Amino acid sequence: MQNKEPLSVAQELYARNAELLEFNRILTLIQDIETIALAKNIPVQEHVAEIVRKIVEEAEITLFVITVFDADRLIYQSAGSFNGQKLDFEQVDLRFNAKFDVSDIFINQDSSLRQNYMADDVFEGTEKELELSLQPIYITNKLRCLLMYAERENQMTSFQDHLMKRLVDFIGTILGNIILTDQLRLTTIGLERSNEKLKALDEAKDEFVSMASHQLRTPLTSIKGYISMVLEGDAGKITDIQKQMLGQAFFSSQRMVYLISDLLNVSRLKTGKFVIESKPVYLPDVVESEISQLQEGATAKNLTLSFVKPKTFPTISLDEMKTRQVIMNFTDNSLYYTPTGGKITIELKDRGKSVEFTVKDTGMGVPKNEQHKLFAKFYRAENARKARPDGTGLGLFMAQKVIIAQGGSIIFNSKEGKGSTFGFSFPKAKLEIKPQED
Amino acid sequence: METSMIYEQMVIKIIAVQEAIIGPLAIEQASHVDNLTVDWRNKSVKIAGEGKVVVEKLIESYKELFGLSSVEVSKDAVSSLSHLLSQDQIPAMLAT
Repeated sequence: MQNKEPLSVAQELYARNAELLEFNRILTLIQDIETIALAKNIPVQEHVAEIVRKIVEEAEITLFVITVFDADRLIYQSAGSFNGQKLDFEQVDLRFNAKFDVSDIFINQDSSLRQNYMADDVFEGTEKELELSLQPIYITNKLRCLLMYAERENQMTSFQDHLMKRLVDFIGTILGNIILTDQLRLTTIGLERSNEKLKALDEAKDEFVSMASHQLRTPLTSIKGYISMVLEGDAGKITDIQKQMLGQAFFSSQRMVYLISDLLNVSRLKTGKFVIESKPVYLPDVVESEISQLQEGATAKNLTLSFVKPKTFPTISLDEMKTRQVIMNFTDNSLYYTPTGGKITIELKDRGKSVEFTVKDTGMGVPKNEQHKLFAKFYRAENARKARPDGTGLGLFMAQKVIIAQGGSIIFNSKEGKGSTFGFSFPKAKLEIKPQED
Repeated sequence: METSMIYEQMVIKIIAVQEAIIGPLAIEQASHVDNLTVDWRNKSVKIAGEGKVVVEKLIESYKELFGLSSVEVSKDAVSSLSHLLSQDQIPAMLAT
């Protein structure tokens, strides 16, 4: 192997090192540009300006411009200049000597395209003409970028020359990502704003529902009271048919009271005003009185509604009004969703460590794929919607809330076409128990 | 910017780029150039005498060791400053 002169080896090494240095500078700059592109929550224009600043600073180039077009419409532009002493990013006034057609540049895809530019700012008042190199780049079919750059006397340094060639390869992708990220940012802002508006609307709706429910309840209580008085003979003797009709009216107004209570409780849940007011309750009496109101409806539909009042049962501490609503809701649902001739069995059991209430029917049941959503607010199973289009989807939602808020748990199992069991159970450990009543 | 300052800036830029390529040897070489005082710890230089000649000598000293590549590297390093000088003030080694 022939020995090389030490000087020539040194020169060769120097040339290699110089190349590596230049390559390293370009890679570092690309990395810096990528870092700028990754900055979040910054508008595209600021990203573009920051990239231009970085390139001009690092390459000390006389003029560098990034222009982004959407079709032929200029959407972003940033320019920077360096005159050997100072960098300028604010005062670059792009005045071209001749009008040039951007579309032509993209159609021709000619990297040697040039354009004259009057560069008085760059030369501190001395107006000189610079020859701009124009580099068209496609970001997407519609989005296009035009790089424009110039160096005095068209004397690009080796670094500048290589950098511009490398920029062509990746600046389109970087700008594309920045624009996409910005679109995502703007979409997110739009969605957040829409969400805020919807929240405000929802609150207004809740407030209205709460107010309307409250206003409806007062006259309804009065209607119920007067019907009850007439039924009890306070206004004189009534015939059996009158009693039956008034009984139906009383039952319907009771239903409406419960419905309004559900609406009120839903809005109270949202505002945190939903409270459980416990007091000693003898549940067999409560169940019996609720069922008695439904007995007539069951008979009319030819349904067998049975409840055997337990002989012994403890008096427990519950929110009577809310628990009544749950009992009514489960039983009323069974009546609705059980076809004529069906059977509804209501049980109230003291299971030693817990008490349990269940309503078992031979109704249409709940499709398996909908069972997990059944207790969600406003949710109604497909077959239930068909059978009873006017339901609110609030009954079961509120029932679950009421039972869980009192330390209990919901009992639910169902088979489509066979029937369902709805109910609740309370561990005695969580209830205030009073001695058993006979 | 004063002409003397432009030459000093040129020297700093040349030494910086040479240092990036060949390391401390670049500063060592520069310290042997007549009329040039280098305080590289503070990144400052002082030229006593004619700046044009000092820049010329500095580039020459690198060229002796590392050939024409080092001249091109130096030229690129000071390209943003050259236009601030008139044609007759530009060191011959930097002229195109």
